[in-house]
Amino acid sequence: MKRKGTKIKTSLGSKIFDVFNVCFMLVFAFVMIYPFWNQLVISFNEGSDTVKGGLAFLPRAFTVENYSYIFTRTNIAKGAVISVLRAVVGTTLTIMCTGLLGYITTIQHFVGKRFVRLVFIITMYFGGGLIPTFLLYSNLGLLDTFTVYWLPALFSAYFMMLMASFIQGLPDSLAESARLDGANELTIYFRVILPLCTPVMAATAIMTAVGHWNSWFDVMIYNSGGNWDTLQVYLRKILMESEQASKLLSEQKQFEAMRNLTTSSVRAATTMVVTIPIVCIYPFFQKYFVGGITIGAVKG
Amino acid sequence: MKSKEQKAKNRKELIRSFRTQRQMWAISAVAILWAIIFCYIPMLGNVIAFFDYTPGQSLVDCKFVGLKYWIDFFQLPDMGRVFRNTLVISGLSMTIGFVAPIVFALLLNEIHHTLFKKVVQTISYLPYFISWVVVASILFTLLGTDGNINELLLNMGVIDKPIAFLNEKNYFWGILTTSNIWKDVGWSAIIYISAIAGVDGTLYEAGSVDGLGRFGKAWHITLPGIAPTVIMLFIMGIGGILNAGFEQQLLIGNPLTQEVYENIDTYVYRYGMQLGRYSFATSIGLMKSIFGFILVLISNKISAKVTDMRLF
Amino acid sequence: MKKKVLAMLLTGAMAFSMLTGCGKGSGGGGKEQDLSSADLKGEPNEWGWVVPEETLVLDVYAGMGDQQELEADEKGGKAVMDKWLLDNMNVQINFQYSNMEMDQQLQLWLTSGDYPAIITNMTDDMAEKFIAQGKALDLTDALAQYGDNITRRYGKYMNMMKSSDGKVYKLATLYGDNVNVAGSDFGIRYDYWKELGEDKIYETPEEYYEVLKKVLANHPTDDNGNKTYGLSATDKKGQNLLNGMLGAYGFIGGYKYDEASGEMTHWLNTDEGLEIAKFMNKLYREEIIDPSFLSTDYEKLMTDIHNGTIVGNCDAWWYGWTGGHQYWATQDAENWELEKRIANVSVHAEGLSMEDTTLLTSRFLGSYRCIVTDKCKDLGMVMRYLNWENSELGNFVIGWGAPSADNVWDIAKEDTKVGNWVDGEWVEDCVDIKAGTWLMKDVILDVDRKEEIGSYHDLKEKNGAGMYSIALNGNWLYTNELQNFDLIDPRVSHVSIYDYWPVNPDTGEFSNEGVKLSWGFYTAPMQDTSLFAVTWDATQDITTKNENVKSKLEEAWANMVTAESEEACESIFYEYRETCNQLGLEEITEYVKSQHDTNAEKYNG
Repeated sequence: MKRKGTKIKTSLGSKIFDVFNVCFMLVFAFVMIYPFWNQLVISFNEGSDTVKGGLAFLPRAFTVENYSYIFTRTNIAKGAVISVLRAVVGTTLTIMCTGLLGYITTIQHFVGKRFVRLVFIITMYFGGGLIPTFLLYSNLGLLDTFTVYWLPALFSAYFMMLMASFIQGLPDSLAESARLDGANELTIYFRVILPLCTPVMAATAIMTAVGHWNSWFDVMIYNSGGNWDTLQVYLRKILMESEQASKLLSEQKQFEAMRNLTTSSVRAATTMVVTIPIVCIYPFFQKYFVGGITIGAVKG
Repeated sequence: MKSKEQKAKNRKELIRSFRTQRQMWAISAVAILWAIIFCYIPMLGNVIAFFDYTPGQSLVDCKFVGLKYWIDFFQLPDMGRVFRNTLVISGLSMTIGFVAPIVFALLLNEIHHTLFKKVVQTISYLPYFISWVVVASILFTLLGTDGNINELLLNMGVIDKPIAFLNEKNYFWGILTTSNIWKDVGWSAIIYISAIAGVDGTLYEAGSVDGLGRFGKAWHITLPGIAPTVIMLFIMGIGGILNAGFEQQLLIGNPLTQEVYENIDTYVYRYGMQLGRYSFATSIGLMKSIFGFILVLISNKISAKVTDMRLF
Repeated sequence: MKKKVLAMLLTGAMAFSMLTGCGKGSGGGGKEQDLSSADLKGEPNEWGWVVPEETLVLDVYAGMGDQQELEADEKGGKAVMDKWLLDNMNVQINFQYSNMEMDQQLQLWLTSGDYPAIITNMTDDMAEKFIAQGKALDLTDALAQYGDNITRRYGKYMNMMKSSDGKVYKLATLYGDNVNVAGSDFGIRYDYWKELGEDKIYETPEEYYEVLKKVLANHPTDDNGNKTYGLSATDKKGQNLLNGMLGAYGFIGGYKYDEASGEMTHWLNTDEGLEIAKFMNKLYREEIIDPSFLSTDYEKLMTDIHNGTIVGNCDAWWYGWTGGHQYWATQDAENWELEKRIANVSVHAEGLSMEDTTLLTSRFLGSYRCIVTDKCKDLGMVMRYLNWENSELGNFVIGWGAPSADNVWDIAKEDTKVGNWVDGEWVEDCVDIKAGTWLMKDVILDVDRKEEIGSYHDLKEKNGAGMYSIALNGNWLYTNELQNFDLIDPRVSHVSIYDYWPVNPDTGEFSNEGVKLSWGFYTAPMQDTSLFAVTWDATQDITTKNENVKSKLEEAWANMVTAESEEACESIFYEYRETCNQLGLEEITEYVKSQHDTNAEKYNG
């Protein structure tokens, strides 16, 4: 990541700054990682001991019980498969399609490019609301299907903007000469443009993948039958348990629900199972964040 | 008259383009078809904003109420405070919350140890994955009267009696903004980190030749290099000025701090969605969208004039 | 271009379908129902059910999620009950599961028309929405023909189920008297209270305050050396402190009801309200209330009770149980002694008697409703089944699971003798049992061990207890003018579909020492507040107004409790009184009163 040919001046101010900066980053890293670490500690602690409170850096009563509990007592393994499938299928299709759209809107002589961009930017600010969307999916037969995860997320105005500005930074001549050779737009996109786009693809891919991985609302609403439950939905359900219980109208029911609440250790273990896989993909994409992503406002 | 000619010419060109640029139009048509089905058709559902609609009823049977919900909303006795809180909370997140990831990305860029840099970068985005429910309970233990912060302050002799931070109106916006930044800074910085990586290396060399110091380079080369990204994200973000959020407010807030956290989103959540008043919720949502979109149009125009950069 | 035209067409079609509601089923509520198919010839079998020739299939949504489905499958109870229902009744019940919150799911189903034939466990408000759109069937005729058990067990309360046109569209589920021995609680750590050596338990809030003060002075720190407090809250709003006090002052749902004049007054508009606020403010200022009480959650409260940080309980009775001895007894058995528990105590305001309190209230019709929708093809048979469910035997089978040697209960085949606990000792063959008695397993009679040895709730779940309740009675299962449960094992009492408590038949006391300590001081009588049920229709402006005022009242209460001085508390009280009245509190009071009057009118026929 070092800049080529940049000599680092070692003036006093610069040195002080370095010390300060490294210290800041250390504190910063601690503040960022601690709650996560704390959840990890709780997840490896016995549930009945966790409720005593006061867990800080290491488990008091170490156990892997919480993890075996969630793997034996829930369909979480199936959820993991669906989550991965959703993230892979959804991300691939989104970046391919949105990238193509982004490319089209950067072709200088394409008359409709501003119109197309506007059509999509409007969708960023005006949504359909729950009921019309539900009705639409119901009519299209998308309820309780896997399709509902990727089809409505095929294009994204936000990523279209990011990709368009990146592609615009590429030399025009590449696409132009291919066009003169008689290649059609799809060929140009897949053969010429895409190979040059790895950095922006990596950035959007990680954001899309995390988005797919983290979303739970659409799973609950459009796949309420539970056939396509993702990991995140399990977590969400466990986290909301106590709120749901407190909403119960019958005192007897509330009492029973509260008594059967999942322990905070199991909740923490679920948090870990759900987040660690997606957290781990970042370092793999990180290496593409080098060498010139020029994202930004479109010129002209 | 000239513009009329221009228009006629444009139209001609447009019609001609359907033939000459049919590939691009075809691809666009597919995308637009998708947008119509999945975005614009549900958007039509927003008409319930002007009706007294209950789920299951046909619109024909619903009473047309026009702008009743907007008028009701503006006549609320607490309107002043709801608007103030909305603007303050989203204002804070659009200023401090917007600058924080940029500063973080710039500081990270000044770290030269590659591994350390990568590790910090990965760690910084961890909080993004922790649910607000969990964050709230962490805050309760941290900021409670028997929490770590009070313990620290007591030991340092700053205070002599524990403070119930979450009960204090004065601290609430600060706590909200801080926890927001904590959660999102690493995530939002991804884009700036990659943008900084994209700044042309030869510019730094030229800067060295011109005698620019380290801070000078950051100021004169890095910052302008990521300016397009910053401006683009700012213009897009300005449309969300009326979105102050509700989840964290409802989780962290309590009746004592209600006076400073109640905003449009919490209001719509409580009196719209939770009561099943979809028409009301939709109409306020629509109002927010229209207002936000107008702001985007205006700032896009301004940006195009001042900086020659635009969204569309 | 073709695509564009297509798109335009599609747009038009969608808009049109939105406009016309696109509901798949509409109307039907007004249609005459053909009940003849339920006119079965034949004798009822041993379960009191005439077995139909064709399997009766019921599609039910009861607000359950797929996690519940998984658990039901896993524990095996569902399979047992499925088989039992099919073998003995020729009935098959299909539950629909959904991840969504029930209200949201129902709203969306209302829009798309995909709801099943029977919906239960819904709120009254949601039931009214279905009724208003004609999607709930009129049950009046079916009830008259096949619903004798239902009408019998509702008694006069059936009148309250009628809508304004005199017809019945909805049933209650889990209805009946409140099956709790205690309600709102002014609890205290019993072992700590005993140390004080007082000869009589406190009876007023003021005495409670004195006791809390003394206990806290004796125990200034908890197990971990942190400062102790008397009371806290869980719902983050501190409303529990208010509700307890309102109960001690005899308020109902926040209102004072004057029986003579029929007038209602909201607590904020009464002098007692100010007294209550000042009292809790005093407790707050003297650090008897945890200063973080507004930002705790359920789990933190439980932790605080385990650790002895919180030594009292001003909330529903069971917070003290779950956080207290139930935790210590199971997780910390060696250090636990019987007297280490939070005892539930009732108090009454100065100048009132315990009879005047409303700490323990009961609403006969409960909070949940069941409707039969226009998707139902055979209302007669459905009503027949629901009627069976409401028979005494049906009630017990559905509530406690299929009777068998594997379950916690079985039906005695012949006359026999069984053992029982007498003064802490198990005595063999001391109770006579007649054939046909609903006999409990001996092992569950030992209350202390019933959970520990995993027998009671576990066994019930394995046999499908409660999994199939649709419009079930949740009352105490004893004999009175509405019902007859003489067949229940004489060794237990306080039996409901949830639980039971063994009682000494001679003294009427709980036979378990611990339960006696927990509930022995709870003397507030049960108050029937059925007539005070208020329906808030979300489409009415009054509901929004009420929500508005409610959130203002929460703010008011929190500010009063945390006021810096008594004078400040008083001025906040008057300030918010004015604000809330301006926001429409008086109008809301009128509405609540009119609801009560309507209820009373309906109730009296």
